[in-house]
Amino acid sequence: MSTDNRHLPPDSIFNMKKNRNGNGNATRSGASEAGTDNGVRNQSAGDLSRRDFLKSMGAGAAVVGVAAGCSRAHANDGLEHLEGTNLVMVIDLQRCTGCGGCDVACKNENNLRQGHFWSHHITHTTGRFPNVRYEYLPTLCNHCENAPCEKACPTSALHKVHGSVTAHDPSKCIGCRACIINCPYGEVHAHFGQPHQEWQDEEELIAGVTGSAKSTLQEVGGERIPYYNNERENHGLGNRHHGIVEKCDFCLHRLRESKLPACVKRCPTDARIFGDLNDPNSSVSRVLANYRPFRRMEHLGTRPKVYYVRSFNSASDYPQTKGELAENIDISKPAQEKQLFG
Amino acid sequence: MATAESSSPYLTRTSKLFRVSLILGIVALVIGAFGVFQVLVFGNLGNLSTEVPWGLWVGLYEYFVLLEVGAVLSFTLLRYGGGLKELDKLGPIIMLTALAALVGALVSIFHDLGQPFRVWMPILRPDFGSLLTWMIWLHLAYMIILIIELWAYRYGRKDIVKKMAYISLPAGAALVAVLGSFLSVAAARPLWNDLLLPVVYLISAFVVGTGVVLLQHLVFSPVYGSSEYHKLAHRLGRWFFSWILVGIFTALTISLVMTYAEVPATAAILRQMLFGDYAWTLWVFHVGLGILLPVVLLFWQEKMQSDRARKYALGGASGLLVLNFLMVPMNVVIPALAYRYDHVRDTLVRFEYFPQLVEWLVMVFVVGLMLVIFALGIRLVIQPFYRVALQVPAAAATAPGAPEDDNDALFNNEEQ
Repeated sequence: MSTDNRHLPPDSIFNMKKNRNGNGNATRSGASEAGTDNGVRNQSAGDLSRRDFLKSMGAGAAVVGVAAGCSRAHANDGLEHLEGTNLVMVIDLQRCTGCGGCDVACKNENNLRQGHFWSHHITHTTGRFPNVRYEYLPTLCNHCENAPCEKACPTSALHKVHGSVTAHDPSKCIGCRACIINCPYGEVHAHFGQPHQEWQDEEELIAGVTGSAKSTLQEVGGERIPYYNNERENHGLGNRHHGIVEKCDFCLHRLRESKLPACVKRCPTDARIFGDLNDPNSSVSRVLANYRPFRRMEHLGTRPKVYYVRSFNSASDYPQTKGELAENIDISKPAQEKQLFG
Repeated sequence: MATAESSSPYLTRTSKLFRVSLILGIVALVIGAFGVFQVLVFGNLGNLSTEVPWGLWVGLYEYFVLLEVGAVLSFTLLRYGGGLKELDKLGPIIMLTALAALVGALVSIFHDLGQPFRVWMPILRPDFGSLLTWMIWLHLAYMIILIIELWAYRYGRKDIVKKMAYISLPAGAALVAVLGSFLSVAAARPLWNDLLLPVVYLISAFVVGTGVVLLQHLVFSPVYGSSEYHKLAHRLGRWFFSWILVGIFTALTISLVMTYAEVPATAAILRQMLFGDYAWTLWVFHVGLGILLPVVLLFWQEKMQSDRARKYALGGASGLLVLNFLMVPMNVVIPALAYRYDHVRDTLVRFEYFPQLVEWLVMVFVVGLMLVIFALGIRLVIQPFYRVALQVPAAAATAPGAPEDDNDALFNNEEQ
């Protein structure tokens, strides 16, 4: 199969719309003016009657509402070109080799701490030797259309941005962990401990052979983190703080620059395909049209946006049999075959 | 005539027990402050993790919510639904207990937040699509109701007390229902994802709440030791017993339905709750000391001749149930998180969780804070109130032909 699915020009994937000074800002300024008018009227009224009090309460509520609206509007800054898109990921399990490159790429890209994986995998081995089946399912946040984590969040720290991506705003997160409780996939992680504290670890992976995290840090002068993506820091989301949660955001910092998520970019077999499902000619639309996809725990109604197609184990690897009974019979012997089929 | 001499020893101005409670509370605050310091300064969240994100503190929070709401709901139901007018005298104590429990609940959950100093965010920038937001707002509303009600008791405003009591019913029921619903809507947690959980929480609130009302009556009643006191204790004991039976029926029904259906994700976790490593917390504390022993004591006291012995039996039953009820939210919250059914591998995965020292220390701090609030409340609000109220001749309360609504001396002290 052609591997050009994920190499389409970014413009065609994301339907670029560079309209950063659009309607959103105009609405905000209009609303704030209305709030100011109310405030002036209240001040000139002198004593505070019940009516004035109610008015001022209304104005206060409006100001809070506008403030909330403004903060939500900021979430889409730089993502205007994704407006109207529905970004999804398709993972072709037949192409996937289970190398875990996506996990490593994600960790490096997002400066993830030890033990945290925004992109991970589930492995499962069944059967008895020599008839053993090994399954490998790459996992990440499903960016559900009906996201339970987003619904549970009391401060809208988890929210949808253009492209229908479930984003997380660390500055709003209070660390209640209601999102972790409600995520059926275990894809939201609690970040306890200080950022990058794992680099203070003095334990050597192999004693006397390898260095420790701390010795590596000292080798680069101790001033900077040895493996650190400054690009993530520049977007204000890379240096996660203590006590909040974190999750995959489809590499929003890269999407802002019309780049593919790191895991998609680094996959050596192009097993991860990313694009706009609203575009009928996009790579994801074409792949999903060709194969019957499945999603994790579809019965919960979360409508995940990460699709899986085909199987990690190729069906062609299995010997042709006529069922369990036929397996135990040497079909090279005509007599037995005759006996079996009458 | 009810006089100050006949009231509970805890309500006398010079009671040594007040000082003892205050000192105990302060000691607990000092000890617990080490844990609070660890949490607020270093962000030490004990043994909590991504796998088991909620633990002792959330369990404590739920327990205190059940106490605070249950006490007021049961009191209002008994007073206005059951027509126990004698309970009016106990109103201020119940409101103070609920307020102390509410503070305990909020302080517990405050420490559970990863970023506790951002707690204002759901209030000023709320997302009302989240049940957690509703819980916070209902808590604030409930706190205001309790404070107004306590104030109304203090200044003898019976009209406000009655109005607030009626408002507290839907507010309290909503708070407990939202508490249950918050867990119930989590499709990710099969043990909680149950239609009945909000109702179970409401019933639990009535069970523990009636226990609190009985216990507070036995300890703090202003008519302590009188025949009215023993008569009311007996009636409350029967109400208490009835609610325990309703609670047992509910718990048994749910457990049997879950077990019978054998849905792996639910049944496997329930089996761990009943027979797993920490099943002793359920059987010893909740079932044994928290239900069976109180039921035995409640049966036994019916046959007792001595009022004094009956008082101790009722006090033991209510005290045991109220204390051990902590295991109810603990056994709802923790097993659902510590055990997760892995649908891919078709097996139950277990995550280790047992509270660390810092979590216990915060619990000690919370209990100390509640004790101090309660002791100071008794001294600053309740004792002055009763001193004034009980000096008023209570003859009107028992005078034949007196209007029913005006038969309480406690509300005749506006002028004094």
